[in-house]
Amino acid sequence: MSIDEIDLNAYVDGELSHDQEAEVLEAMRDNPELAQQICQLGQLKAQMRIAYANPPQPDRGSMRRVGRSWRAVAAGGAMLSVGLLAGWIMNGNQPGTAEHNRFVVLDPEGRGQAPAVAADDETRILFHLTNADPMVAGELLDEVETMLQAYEADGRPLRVEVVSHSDGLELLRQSLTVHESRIQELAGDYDNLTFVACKNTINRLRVDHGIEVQLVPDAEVTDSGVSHVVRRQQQGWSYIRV
Amino acid sequence: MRLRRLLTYFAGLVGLMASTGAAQAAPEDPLQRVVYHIDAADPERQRAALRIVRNHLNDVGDEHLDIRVVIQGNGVSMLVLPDSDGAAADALPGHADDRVQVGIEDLKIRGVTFHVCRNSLTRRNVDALNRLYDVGPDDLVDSGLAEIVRLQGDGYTYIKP
Amino acid sequence: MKTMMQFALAGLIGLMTWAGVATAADSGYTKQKVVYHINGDNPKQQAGALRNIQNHINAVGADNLDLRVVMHGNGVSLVLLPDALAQVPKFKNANANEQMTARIDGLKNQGVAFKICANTLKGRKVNKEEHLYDVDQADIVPSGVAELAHLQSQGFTYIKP
Repeated sequence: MSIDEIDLNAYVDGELSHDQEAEVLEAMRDNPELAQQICQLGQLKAQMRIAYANPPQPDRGSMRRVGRSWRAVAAGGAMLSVGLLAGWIMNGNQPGTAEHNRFVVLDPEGRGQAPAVAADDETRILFHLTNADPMVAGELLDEVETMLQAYEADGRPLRVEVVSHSDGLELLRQSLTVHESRIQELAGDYDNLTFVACKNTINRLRVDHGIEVQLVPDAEVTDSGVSHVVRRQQQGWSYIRV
Repeated sequence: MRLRRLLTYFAGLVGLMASTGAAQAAPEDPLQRVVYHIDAADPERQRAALRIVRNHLNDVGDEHLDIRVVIQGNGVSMLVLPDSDGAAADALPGHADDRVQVGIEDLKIRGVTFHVCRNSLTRRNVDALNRLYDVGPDDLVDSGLAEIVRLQGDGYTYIKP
Repeated sequence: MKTMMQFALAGLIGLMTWAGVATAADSGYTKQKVVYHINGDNPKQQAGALRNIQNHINAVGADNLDLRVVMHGNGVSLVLLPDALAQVPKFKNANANEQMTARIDGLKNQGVAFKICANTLKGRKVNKEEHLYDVDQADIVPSGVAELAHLQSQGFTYIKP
């Protein structure tokens, strides 16, 4: 869908359906300006809500003064909490508080990140593989397959990424992996499963060891495996070190 | 009327506070906080960990990263000097050779902070700081793992390289 | 004027509270929710992990910790009784000897919960009454990995010892 201002307002107000919300999030990921716009809109709306919740009253004389100053204090307190909340949210991004965070946080590339409100609905797991042992990788694939099957059977949404770098890259190297056909099958069966290879590792193998790495066809490449791991966690993904 | 003016005034203050907070998370200057956990005994893995941290700095930029490295368990052998005096025959093998020292030094210059687990040192009888490469009292934490959890609570993302 | 004073005061108090909260979080260890992940079957590493957990408790205090251990795959060998090894050929190690079970008991007494993956038990034909040390139905989770993900989404900090 093309996203117009009405959609943005609806998003910030939490009025979109789950699917529509996902589309806005997708669009934000590709469009940093949009993400920033939504972020500002969110702040503005929060301030407006408080201001309108405490409209200024006409002066009704000294008898009301006590009541009014209480209202003023209440308004002050409310405004203060907006400030605190905004500050907390902008500084926040801590694991564990992420699921309450409806605001958009920008990642280093300036791309919008999904607020982790999806956490209750969609399970997102990143497996971090740095071990070359084919047994370990095999058990990982078992584990991943079991999960994908179970979630699919129950109709629960799940996204899984296997990020491999350093020695772990062997899983995705065509000449070394013993799991190529398995990877192909899994990637073919489940489009919610992604294999990610670290470009740094590939470059290092070329520069230090003169190896031109050939990856299995289903592998995607990220510039830096660790940066990817950090980014995903900041987006609210669970982290599992294999 | 006065109340409205005051509300405006206060909204300004709130806005200021919010923008102060926002400045720290603004897209122009995002700071990634990351805690690396090193507990491997294997010197190759230890050197690989240093290399991964260095790559991370190269990718994201020193000024965008606040990296803490927590060294704990068998990982502390990384800091033990190979020819340290008083090392018993069955002592922990020291992996802090030239390569490791250069690697650590480079990271420290680039702003990386190292935290070393006192429990792990004591348990391995290497808690004399002169047996370690460039570890001062301020670099020690009682429990490396508790420190990792504390850092994660403060917004640091966990990575075990 | 009085109103303005009240506003200013409210603002000041708010700022002080904010600063106070920030420093309290920096100065020491606040309440921690932590999940330890065990999926390897090396008895030394497992014993090390349990020792890590004890050190963690010592550093932070049992009252300040909600600590879970999640075992799956080979990690279940931590609670697998040595006598049962012959009956569960998919395991190479059974590490629940007297020393290990004493450590487990000690941690349980300090409030640590040990969770075991039902998928692993099913896949490896393990009978929890016969083969495992002190595991009852409440200790079983449907999937170890899903439990790790779930706990992280609930604010638990992940550690792979």
